[in-house]
Amino acid sequence: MKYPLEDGFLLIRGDHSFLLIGKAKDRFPLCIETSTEEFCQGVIPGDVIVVSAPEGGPVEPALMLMDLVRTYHVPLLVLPKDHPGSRRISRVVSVAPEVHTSCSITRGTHPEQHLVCSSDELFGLSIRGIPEGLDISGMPAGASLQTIRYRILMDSP
Amino acid sequence: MCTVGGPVDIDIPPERVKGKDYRCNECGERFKGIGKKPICPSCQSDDISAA
Repeated sequence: MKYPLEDGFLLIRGDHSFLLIGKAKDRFPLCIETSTEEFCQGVIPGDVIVVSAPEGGPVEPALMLMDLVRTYHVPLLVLPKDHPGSRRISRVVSVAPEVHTSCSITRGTHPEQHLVCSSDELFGLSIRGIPEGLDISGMPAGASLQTIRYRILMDSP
Repeated sequence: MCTVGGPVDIDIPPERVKGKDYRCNECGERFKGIGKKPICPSCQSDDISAA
């Protein structure tokens, strides 16, 4: 099913988790920094950016994470396996022309660009960027959709 | 790529991610690219060659 999306984001909510979906608006190199190497992925306008919060929680941090990647092109830093800090991270992001949700993978342990970790309730979604918005298949019956606009406002002194 | 902006909870086994070595023809930067359309991380050029 096609969903129109311009500059905003699409929020797909389950009972206990959500996905925040946006589209890349710029062409940029997305760098992924491991402890030993750097990998750079080319992102082009229209690629899909999916932030997954498998345990739910507030949407604002997901919006901020989306903005860091989508607007500010921050590199992604990679913790080594079994790093003690990894258990505190509850949002993951995937950037690709098409992204599939999966709950059969261990969060943070797969490098495939077309997969993002999700909860059981949002498993099996396919999200593809198309010129008019998003093409999404496999939408769970109980999921709700909402379009979100987000902007940072700063007061001038 | 299941990763998180800033700190990340991803483990990338080196045997599963094999970036290709590239050299930028505009600025000379050498980098490992992944995906179908690698872009130079230094000057954003797509005028690159396999190194």
